[in-house]
Amino acid sequence: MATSSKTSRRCATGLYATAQHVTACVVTAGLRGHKIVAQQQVQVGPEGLPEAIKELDEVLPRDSRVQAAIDPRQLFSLTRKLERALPSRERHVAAHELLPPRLGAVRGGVVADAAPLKLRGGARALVVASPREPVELIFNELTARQVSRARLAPAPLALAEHALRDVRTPKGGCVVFLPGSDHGVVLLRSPSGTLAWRLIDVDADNPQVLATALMGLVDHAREDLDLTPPSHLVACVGEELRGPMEEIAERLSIELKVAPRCETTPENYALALATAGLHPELPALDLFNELRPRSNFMANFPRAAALGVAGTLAACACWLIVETNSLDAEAAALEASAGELLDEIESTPDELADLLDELQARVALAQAFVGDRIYWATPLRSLPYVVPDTLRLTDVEATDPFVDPGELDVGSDQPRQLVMSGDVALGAGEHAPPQALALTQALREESTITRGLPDITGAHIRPGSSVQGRLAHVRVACMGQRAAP
Amino acid sequence: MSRSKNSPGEDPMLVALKRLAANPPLLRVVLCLVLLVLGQVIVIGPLGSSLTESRDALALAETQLADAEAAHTLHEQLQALAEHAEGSTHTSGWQEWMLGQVGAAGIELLSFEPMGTSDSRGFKLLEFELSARAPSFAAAVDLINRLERGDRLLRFTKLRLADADGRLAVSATVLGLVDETTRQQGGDDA
Repeated sequence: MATSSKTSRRCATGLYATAQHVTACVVTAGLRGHKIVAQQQVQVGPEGLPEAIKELDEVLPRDSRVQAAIDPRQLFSLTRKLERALPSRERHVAAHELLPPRLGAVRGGVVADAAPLKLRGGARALVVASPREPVELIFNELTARQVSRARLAPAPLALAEHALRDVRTPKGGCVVFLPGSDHGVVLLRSPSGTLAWRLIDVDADNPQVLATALMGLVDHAREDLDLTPPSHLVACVGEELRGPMEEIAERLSIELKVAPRCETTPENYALALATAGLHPELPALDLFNELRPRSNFMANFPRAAALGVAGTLAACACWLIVETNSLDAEAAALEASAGELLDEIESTPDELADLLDELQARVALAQAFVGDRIYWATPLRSLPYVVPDTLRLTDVEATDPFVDPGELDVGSDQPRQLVMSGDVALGAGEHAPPQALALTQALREESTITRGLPDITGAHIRPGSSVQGRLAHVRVACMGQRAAP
Repeated sequence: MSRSKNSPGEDPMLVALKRLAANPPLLRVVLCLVLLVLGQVIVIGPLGSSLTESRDALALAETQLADAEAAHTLHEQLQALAEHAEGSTHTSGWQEWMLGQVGAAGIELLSFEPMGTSDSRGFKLLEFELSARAPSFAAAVDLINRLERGDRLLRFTKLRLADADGRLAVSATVLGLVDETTRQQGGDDA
């Protein structure tokens, strides 16, 4: 019974699948609430659910959210107290730990999810499980159709939300009854949402069955969940069935509130699911969660390795920063010291190189002038002590040229020398006076001479004559080396 | 229908990332490499450059300090030298000083003639010819000692002591050093 395939930008699709048929409903959000734009139901043939869903191709817009559900009789739910609040990443694990043993199924045979419940007195969780096969068939078909925003929630929860959307529910907890020809649903609700639900196989015509189911929920709230017993019964049966409901409420000793009739028909389920799909921000159970491919990035994230590398990098960075600061401080101290020295000589760092060259050249010149010379008074003063008494000095000549260090190649070959000349009287038959050798030997032993003029070349003897008789002319040269520049 | 991990038409890059995320050893290696590269590019590289700059700055500062210390030492040496190199570059000042030294040594000065001047690196070199007559060898040596160790920088480049009629003829070429920078700072005292 397709009505329309027109969709708007913000739309949602409810998809309710049972073993007999698949019902789809597309709604759009408007200023006055939702609007049904398409609704269709197809029978499930021998090919199974995927083919039935394919037949809904015209109804299912690819860009809409899809809120799917399966027959609630295939679901198993459990509400229990928790030791601590349940982190989101542990929801599936907790659901699997709790339900498969109770269902008598292997772990891989079911899909499960859990929703945390915020209630007074501690954390609680609503855990829902389903056989894996129908959920997986729907998920695979939607994935093949590239429907990325799809989830599968318990249909009774969506229907209850839809039925009570315009009903002022009591502030305390309440129990809700949704009638239906195929099955009815009773739910235990708190202001934070639905805590538990039970299916009943009969309509409200049998008050005893309904009362027993409601009583079970009340006991569950009081005994298992440590909650205050619900104060109201909200019966979505319409005014025509108020009488039987009042009778049941009296039996339970709670107040009755009658809401507009909302039956558990496939069309209502599909509409309620589509309406819920318009509010994706609402936290909801999603049995598709377990089937979605996970990147496993967080699970496989090598925290220790990352921390190790990051720590190593941080340590290196710290060392570099500390070392850099230390070097900067040391350089600043050195620059300050250099600045103080330069201030004393009235210079600046920019002028330092030129100044140093100039000072070195000036000091080298002064050093050559002052240091590299012979103080002639010293060797001359020692001459009277080394010259033999019988030798008479007639001439002393000293040479010590100054060579500018910057012009070493000019005049550097000029000798540094001390030349002494004298006469000595020769005896009869004497040709080589011993005084010459004695003078030479004495000069070589005189430290004031050899210190600056170590190379004493010896005596040159030239015979002569005078009025006193025969003479020998003696000449001794003391040569010196110039200091290395 | 079996569930496929990757939807048809999915971005190959996304597929590769998903495969990477599903392989813990490979993810560990890749993540470490990425962190190392990022750390090198973002942290170690800039800080290393900064450290290198600091080291260069430190080496420059060390060189500058060494040069400054050397310059300071040289400057002090020149200051000490200046105390001995004080004096006028005018020959008259030198002549008066020479007359005083010769007179103190008891020697007869025959002549003291300037032969020329030359400039070198802020110094002025003055050359003189000295001729004197000493009564004895000891007096001549005394004069030489007074001149060499006096309050002016002077050295004998040539010196001759010769017997002359019972006295000692002293002839010498002397070189005087004057610090012109000291003269400029202290003013001409001529």
